Formats: sequence, structure tokens, C-alpha cells
Amino acid sequence: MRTNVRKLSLTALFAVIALIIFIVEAQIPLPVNAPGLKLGLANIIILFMLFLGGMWKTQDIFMVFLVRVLLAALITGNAQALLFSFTGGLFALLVMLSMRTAFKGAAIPVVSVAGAIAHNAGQITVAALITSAGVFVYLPALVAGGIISGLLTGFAVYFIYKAHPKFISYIGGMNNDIR
Amino acid sequence: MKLLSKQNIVFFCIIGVIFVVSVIVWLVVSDIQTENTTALVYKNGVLIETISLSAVETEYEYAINDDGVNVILVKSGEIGVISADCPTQICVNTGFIGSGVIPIICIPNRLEIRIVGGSHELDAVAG
Amino acid sequence: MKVKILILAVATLLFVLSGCDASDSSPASFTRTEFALGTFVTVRIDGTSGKDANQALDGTFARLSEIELTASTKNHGSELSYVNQNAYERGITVSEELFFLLESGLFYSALTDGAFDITLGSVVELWGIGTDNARVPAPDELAEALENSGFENLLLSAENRTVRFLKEGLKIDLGALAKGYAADEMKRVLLENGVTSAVLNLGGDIITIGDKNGEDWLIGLADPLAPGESCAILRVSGLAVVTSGNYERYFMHEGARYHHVFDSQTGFPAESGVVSSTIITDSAMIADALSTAFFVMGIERAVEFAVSIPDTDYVLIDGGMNFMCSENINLEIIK
Repeated sequence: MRTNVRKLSLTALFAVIALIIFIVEAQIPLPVNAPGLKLGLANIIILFMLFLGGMWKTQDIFMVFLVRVLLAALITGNAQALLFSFTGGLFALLVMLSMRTAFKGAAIPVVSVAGAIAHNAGQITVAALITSAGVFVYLPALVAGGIISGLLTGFAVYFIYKAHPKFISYIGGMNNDIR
Repeated sequence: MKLLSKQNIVFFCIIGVIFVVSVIVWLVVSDIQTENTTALVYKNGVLIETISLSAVETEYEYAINDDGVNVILVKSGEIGVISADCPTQICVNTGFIGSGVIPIICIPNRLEIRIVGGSHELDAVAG
Repeated sequence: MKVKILILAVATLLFVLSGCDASDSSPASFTRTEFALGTFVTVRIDGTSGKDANQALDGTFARLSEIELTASTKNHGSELSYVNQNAYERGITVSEELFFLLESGLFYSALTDGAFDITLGSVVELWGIGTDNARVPAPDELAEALENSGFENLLLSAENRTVRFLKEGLKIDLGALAKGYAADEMKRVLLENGVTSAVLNLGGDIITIGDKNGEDWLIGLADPLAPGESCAILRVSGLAVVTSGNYERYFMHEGARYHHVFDSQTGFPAESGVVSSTIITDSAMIADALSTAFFVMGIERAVEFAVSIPDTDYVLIDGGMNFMCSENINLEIIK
């Protein structure tokens, strides 16, 4: 199999961008305190890749997700945080993939919201396993928060797609250079 | 891919409904009041302390040092974590709780403080 | 002008700071929890300043760590583990602390005719209740473990503080004594630090110092049927309250429940009809040993036995939530 250099470097680039967003996000304080509640901005990259199509397959997205989660854990040095971001991210990824397959016409923000809710649900499930089922009282706050952050990231990606169609089709792997 | 296709409008409506419902549920849950409150302190899932908040006259500090430090302040009718060595500080930022069902949670140190109604004002439980 | 403002500011600051000082010295309560001897240990001190309370707390928890190093069965580096591994081959000279524990253990084993028995270590190990390997042992395994137990196979020599086992498989388990002993010692350290009002909770073994602002301490008795809730309230000052129950540690096997208090006659969890046995007396160690003994004896034998030991009160609860208690206690049944 021929190694696709462009794809390889883009994958690495995606992982790094996701990581940077993750780190920046950790610095943003949230108005509501709930275990497992996160802005989920790092999801932007996963969402972006999900709609690229072309040469980008599910396993590539998984690869970026794994690299991002593991590197983030290495940087923060927090094994517990790894458990949270991995479970949350995995829930989000699986839900978004199934949304994408089941509803071909679903808009980016819609898929994003579903992913964000799944992300928070995954995180609170881990929290419940670590502490007790009592943490589920936070679920409504996490769902509402997930909807807001999901719309935020969803529209961010949507506008990137809308504003730069040529750029998108270029990295999507249509083999046509940017003109 | 059309943003405002029929299907997507339905999706956005569903999202809107879920949002409104979860906000309402959250507001209702936050507003639940309990009387004669007792705080249950759980560490690593084990109930380690039962504090009758309505019986507290003078406020006092309560430090839990085991796989992480959480310093709890117990006041008349209220309990809160005032400092902790965890990175997230969610437990400290939650502030004081005294009635209602929102617990204080410190996931890194596996600490949980829950409020329940009713109290027998006990100093300790043998068992 | 500037100087005046400065002086005013400093004066205000001093005033505010002295205000803080004043509130610090008012009677308050200080509580600390740590994990030791396989359970959570909480000490609450009332009526002292924060500085004194913290010093007393440091001292008392340091004492607890020492005891854990001596008497823990689970800690493989403890002195007791060393004795358990070597005391059959040769007599082992032990520390004063461990010797005292063994001596007391042997005394109460003999006094209660083996209802309380510190030599059941191999039986306890075989069942593994409270560990991940809990199981019902095979009859021949159990018979062998029982054969190797029995307090008559434990020889103590006070002269040079030596311990000797007469059976190779004998193992000492101080599980029903060490927590109580630790409670007594922690109380002693607190008293030495001038503490006059405190309550210590070692995973449900309670000991108190003085009273609470002139009133008795209110000690709940855990409800055997509803863990986490209380079924009765005891009022005590300066005494220890220790409960043994079948609800504390157990495992389920084929629909049957096996708890952690063993009968030295059968090697099985004691089924005497008692589900919760509480002893109220000065020493938490004695209360610890006797609550186990009473649990194993059953109500009839325990009540009869209690006549022979002065200054000791009890509360026994059977499976039908019937209470049987001594006369001198202040008990309020709330369920």
C-alpha cells in the first residue's frame, strides 16, 4: 500500500490542532459547576473530519481521537482525566458516527449536538462509577450544557465548510489542488 | 447538505424541546428543599460521616486526609468544601449546600457530600 | 496627613486581625478523618482552640499509625504477620504493645470460653470475607483450619515476652481487638493533650471523652436491616460503644449470606440468633472483644455471662428486631 504523505501529515496536523484546542479549552472557566461538564471544543476536529468524506475513513477519525486523548493525558499527567476524556470522546464519536450513517442529510450542528450530549452523558457515567449514582442529578444541566456547546462547535464547523468549499474539497482528498 | 432541510428543522425542534425540558428539570431539581437536613459524607463510596446540619451550633472544620485532602466547613444548616488538593476544584466551586438534592462531588478524591431530610442529631453511629 | 492615614489603616488592620483571633479561641469543634486498620477513622474534638485541637489530632493519628504497624493482620510487614509466620518454629520475643494485645486476647478468649477467640486466623483467612476471594471452604479444609486453631495452642511467657504456637497452622487474628485497643490508645493521647470533650469513631467502634457541652453524646446503633440508618439511640459520656453485627461484612453464595464473625466451634459464621451485639463500657478494647463474644454466644448465654462482668452494659438485637439490654443504659429505640 502506498503511503499517502498528504493524508499522513494532515492526520498529524488534525491531532495537534485537537490537542491545542483541548489545552486552550481547559483554561476557560465555566459558569456552571458540574462534574463532567465541558465545553467540548476539541470535538471541532472530530466533527470536521466526520464530514470530510473522500479519503477520510472512520479509522482515521479514531486514530486522531486516540492520539489527542493520549497526548492530552501525557501533558496533564492525570490518569483519571484520561478515563473521562476517553469515555466521553468515545461516546460522542460513536453517536456522531451512527447519526451520520442513519441520517444522511443531518446538518453538522445537529450531529454536533448529539455528540456533545453523548460526550457529557459518557463523562457523568464515569463519574457515577467512581462515586455514586447520585451524580446523575447533574444530567439535566449536562444535557442543556451539551446542547449549547454542541451548537457552538457545530456552527463553527458548518461555517468553515460554507466559507471554504475549495479548501475543504482539497483536504477531503479530491486530488485537486487549491486554485 | 442543506442546513434548513425539512429533516433538520425537525431535528432543531427536537433539540429545542430537549433543551427547554432539561433546563426546567434542572431548575426544579435545584429548587427542591428538604427540612431538618442531614449531610452524608461518602469517601470512596463508603459512608463515613453523618452530620445533622440543623443541630450544628458553632461552625467547624472537618479535614479528610486520605488519597487527597478535602477540608469541609460545617455550619448551621450548611456544609461546603473550602479547600481541596484536586485539580478541578469543582467541589470548592460548588459552594455551600444545605437543602436540596445537588450533591458536592470531588471526583479526583472520590468524595461525595449528599443532603438528606430528617435527622436524629447523632454524634456517631456504632455498627 | 499621610502618616495619620497610615496609622489609621494599621490600627484598623490590627483591629480586624484581633477580631479573627477572638473568634479562633471561642469553643468550636474540629474533625479529621483518615484511613487506617482497614476502615475510616474519624476524631472530633470539641471546646478547644484550633491550634491545640490540631496538635492533639496529629498526636492521636500518629499513635494510630504505630498500632497499625504492630497489630494489622492484613499488612504483611506488621509485627503480627511476622509472629504468625514464625512462632511455631521458635518462641518469638515481641514488643510490649503486641504482648499486651496477645495477653488481653488470650484472657478474653479464656474468659468467654472461646466465644471470642483470637486464634481463628486460619479460619478467617480460609473464608476470605471482606476480600475479593471470599468463598465457602470445603469441609476438610475447614476441619484442618479448626484443628490448627484454639487458644490453648497459644503459649505466652510474660517473663521474656515470648510467643509460641503449638500448632503449625495457627494464626492470630486481632481483628476483633485491635480497633478497640487503638480507640483506647487514641483516647489516651487526646487526654494527655488536655482534650476534655471528643468523640472517636473507628469504623463504627465509638469511644467518647467527657460530654458535649454538659450533655451526653448521642450514639446511634446501626439498623441491622437498613445499613446507613439507626434503629436506636444511646446516651453516653466518656464511655466506649462497640457493635458487632452480621450486616457489616459478608458475602453471598447460592442465596445464603455469610458474615465475618466466626464460631470457634463450627468454623462457620456464628448463627446464634443475634444479629447485632453492642457493648458499652470504659474500654473500647474490652467492648470490642465482648461484643464479638456476645454475638457468638447468643442471647441466653450472653445474658447469663454478663452477670459475671461488672460495669459492662449490652444491647442485643435478634433477627426479629427484638431488643434485649441491660438495665443501666439510656437507650431510646426509634424503630
